[in-house]
Amino acid sequence: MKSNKFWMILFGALLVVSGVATFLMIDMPQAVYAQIFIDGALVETINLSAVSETKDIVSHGEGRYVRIVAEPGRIAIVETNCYLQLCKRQGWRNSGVIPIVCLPNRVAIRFTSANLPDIDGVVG
Amino acid sequence: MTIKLVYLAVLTAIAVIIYVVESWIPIPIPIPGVKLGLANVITLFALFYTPAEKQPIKQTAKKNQLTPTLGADAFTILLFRVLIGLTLTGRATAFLFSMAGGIFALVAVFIAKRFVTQKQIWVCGVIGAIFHNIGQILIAMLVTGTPWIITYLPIFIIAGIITGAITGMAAQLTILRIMEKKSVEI
Repeated sequence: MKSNKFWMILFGALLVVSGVATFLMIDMPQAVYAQIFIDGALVETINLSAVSETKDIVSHGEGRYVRIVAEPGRIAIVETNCYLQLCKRQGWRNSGVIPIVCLPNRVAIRFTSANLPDIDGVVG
Repeated sequence: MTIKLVYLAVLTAIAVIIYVVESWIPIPIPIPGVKLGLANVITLFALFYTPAEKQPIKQTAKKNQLTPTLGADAFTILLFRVLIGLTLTGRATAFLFSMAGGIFALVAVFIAKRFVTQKQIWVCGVIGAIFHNIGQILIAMLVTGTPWIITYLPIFIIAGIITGAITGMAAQLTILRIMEKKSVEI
């Protein structure tokens, strides 16, 4: 049996490593493209730096309702019918490795610095 | 058999109440899947403590050991807690996430249980919470079809360590208090 000290050091180290990884992923240079995925399929890629006026993207059907708005340099989920509204609360984003996700509606927004094809989709 | 049935029913009822009440509390961090998970205290409790049916309580308490329990009890509580809890809160879509997370946590704790003492149940709480989040993230990857959701993992690990230590410590203190009380009664 390991001592309490062993477990505390182990979890402490895990906490530090995860904290550094999170910080690095959040502190990314501003992305140029936002890729919108619905049900795993890439439905739209928006060049955030090229958006000159507000762009509305609404997805509904099969119990889903999500309204995504893109403005110059940023994007957000502004309306949704999901229970916790966590995706909406993530607010306006313009970068980061960590995507905006609405799990109940199966919608995700990923940020990239280049207009890459949907690599995952190609592999899958 | 009747005692066990009542025991499981009571634990399930407590777990459901905790689950529903926790769902009323707003989540301060807007990250899907991050929450305290207080109902997991009951799952941990069921894994580490069962009322001795065949074994005399006196003998168990004297040996000062955790009574051996079946993971099946904890799984039964988990299954009914998720089913009833989600029905009451109207979040049927969360069934897959809750069950996947719960099963991952259960298996991880069941294995980790062999490596901890009764004063280290908090360790199982942390391991369970981390694996609960890993299970949820895997299901999220499958449901949304977007494997890069795995980037949430470091945040989920941080959340798992903090929330797991709290729920694990709650389960540990409850079990130790009950065992202590039984020793006094004997």
